[in-house]
Amino acid sequence: MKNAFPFARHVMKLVGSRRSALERAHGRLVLLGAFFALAFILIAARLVDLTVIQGDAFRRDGGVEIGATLAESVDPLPRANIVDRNGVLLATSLETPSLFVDPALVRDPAALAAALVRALPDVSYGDMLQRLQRKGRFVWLSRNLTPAEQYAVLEIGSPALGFKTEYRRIYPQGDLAPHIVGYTDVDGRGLAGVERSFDNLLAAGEKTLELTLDVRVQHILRRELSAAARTFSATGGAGVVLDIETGELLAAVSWPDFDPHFPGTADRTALFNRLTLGVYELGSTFKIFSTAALLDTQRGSLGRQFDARAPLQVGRFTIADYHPEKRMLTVPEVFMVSSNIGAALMGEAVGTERLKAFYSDLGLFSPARLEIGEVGAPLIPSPWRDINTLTASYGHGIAVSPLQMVAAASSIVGGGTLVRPRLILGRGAEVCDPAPCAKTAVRVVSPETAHRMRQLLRLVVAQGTGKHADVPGYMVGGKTGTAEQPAAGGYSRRHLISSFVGFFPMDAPRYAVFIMLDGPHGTKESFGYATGGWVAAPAVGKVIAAMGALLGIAPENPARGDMAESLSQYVHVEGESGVHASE
Amino acid sequence: MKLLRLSVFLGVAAAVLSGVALFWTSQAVRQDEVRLRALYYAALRETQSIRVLQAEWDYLNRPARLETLAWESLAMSAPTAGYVAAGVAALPDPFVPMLPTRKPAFVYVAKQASAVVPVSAPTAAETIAPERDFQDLLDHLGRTEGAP
Repeated sequence: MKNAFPFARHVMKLVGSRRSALERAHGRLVLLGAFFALAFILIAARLVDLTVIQGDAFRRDGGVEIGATLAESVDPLPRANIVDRNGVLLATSLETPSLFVDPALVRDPAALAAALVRALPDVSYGDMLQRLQRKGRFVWLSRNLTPAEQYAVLEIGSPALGFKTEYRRIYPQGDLAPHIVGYTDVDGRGLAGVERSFDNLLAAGEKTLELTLDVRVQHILRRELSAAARTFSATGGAGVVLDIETGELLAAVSWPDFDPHFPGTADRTALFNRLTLGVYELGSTFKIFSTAALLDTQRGSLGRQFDARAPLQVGRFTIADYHPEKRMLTVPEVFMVSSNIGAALMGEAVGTERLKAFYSDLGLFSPARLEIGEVGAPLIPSPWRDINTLTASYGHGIAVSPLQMVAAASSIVGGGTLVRPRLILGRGAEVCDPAPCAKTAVRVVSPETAHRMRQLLRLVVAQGTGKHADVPGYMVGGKTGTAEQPAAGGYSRRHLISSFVGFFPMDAPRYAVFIMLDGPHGTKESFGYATGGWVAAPAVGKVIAAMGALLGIAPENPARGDMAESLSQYVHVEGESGVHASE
Repeated sequence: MKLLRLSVFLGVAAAVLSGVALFWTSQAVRQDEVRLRALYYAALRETQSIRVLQAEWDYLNRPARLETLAWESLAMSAPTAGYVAAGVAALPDPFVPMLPTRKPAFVYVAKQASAVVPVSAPTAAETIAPERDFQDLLDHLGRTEGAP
């Protein structure tokens, strides 16, 4: 028992300092061993964690980085929606697959390119072949595929092909309002309209952007504008429906338009926004401003007469009427028959400085303030001579955007305070119902002048050049405008800008409706005329008839009488046919 | 010495326990992250589905399309000002008695039934009414069954 251990005789007992050093070394070895054992255990545990425990979640989440928190791993939000005032989608972003290739994994580029051409209708063989042979590990082949196209590509079964989920901008209303809503590029960056001016907000994807547009009114306006443009073979046109109380644009159309899904295929004339970016000499609609300036600066001047018996000769310029009355005209008659001579004399009576200040107060000398970038700067004579005062009184020699003109006219008709058009619907504290909060405190004409202008505008539709805009049931007022466009050596009588701006209901105007046609041609039905009263006024009347019932605006009580009747004392009636309305 | 070994043992045990607790906590958090991510992606898929449905709904309800369908399928056109009532007072009174505009040419006086004719209980075969068309039904309306 004593010698059980075979090497017992070789065991030496160490004592003293040697024994102590050995024990210390032994302890250290044990400690080191324990440390390494623990480290290996930890590594093994971590491997099990990564491969078994987290690996399952990794596969389930489609390759989300291991250890990443939710905030780090989630995809960015899609671009925010754009909706109309009733919540109808104007623009949204939907998930679509986009096809890419890893060229290093392509074994037979020619065969794969041929297969891709069969699967994707919009690609060419040469382009695909070239892309498949590029250097690198990631090359886009086609973006935003349809489900059917994705299925066809999957059937090819090539390991070199892959899909990446992207968002594509979709415009459910198509070409209804592309100039206002705008469009984006393939990467979702806004390039025009609201898409561009609110790019950062929309890209954040957090809040839906509500516009003031109403797709129903937009459709009505676009329908009537395009119908009139086709009927009179116009090259283009623009239209707007403005809520005078709030400044909200219910409809805004530029024609021709385009499909915002494919802006690259549209021609430049279709992409051009005639309503806000184009500036035009709008002609007689400017008589609203010169007449208001006269009435506001010289009270009680309705009965004042202006000599329209002969064309006005100013230096080398001759100002004539389209259909000369060849007699003295009162202010209501000048406005009703749209006499250029009378308007020029009214401008002269107001004075250059006063007229310029008045136009400036109306916002006609500076670009319109709107929430989109496509806003045109007006063209103002520089230097402004006395002849410019005369021509600007009837809308020549000064070019503004149609939206500017409508906003300025609405400011006068709406009660005399400046109306600022807007496209973004206000919420919360900005809600305007029922108070007209969008009206600014800037007064441009007195309430009396505003009332007189309402009567005059009604007179134009009741007895003057705008008869075709009248709508049974509603008291419509408005003003026609026909302007020859600048051409080489002067103005072209063949190229007209014909327009009509209407307001209703005239006793308490709520809506302004404007339609302009660029380059219309007379037809048999219009007796060859292409003036605003023949081509634009009927279209405005149709818009008012349709939108009045749609918005639930009650018809006028016939027993109340026509508000223009009080001006009858100033309107001279010739024979049985009355005053000849011209433009 | 014994005290030292005990403290080392307790320290190691505490470290191991802390490690296990930390591992347990991290795994619990990770599992919650996984569940949260799954819920997030599920919500995202639902949101995307809703976006697709909304886009489809508004695409199908374009005013131009509805106008065409209403005209072609229902012969309905846009209303005019005449369809809009100025107020409640302008609405027609639904309770006005509907009187004839003129006096009828003659007044029909129904004959009183002379007597009640008792009938025997019908058999099962007799209760099954023979098939009649609508015109036949109108012709026999008001005539007593069995009367000439």
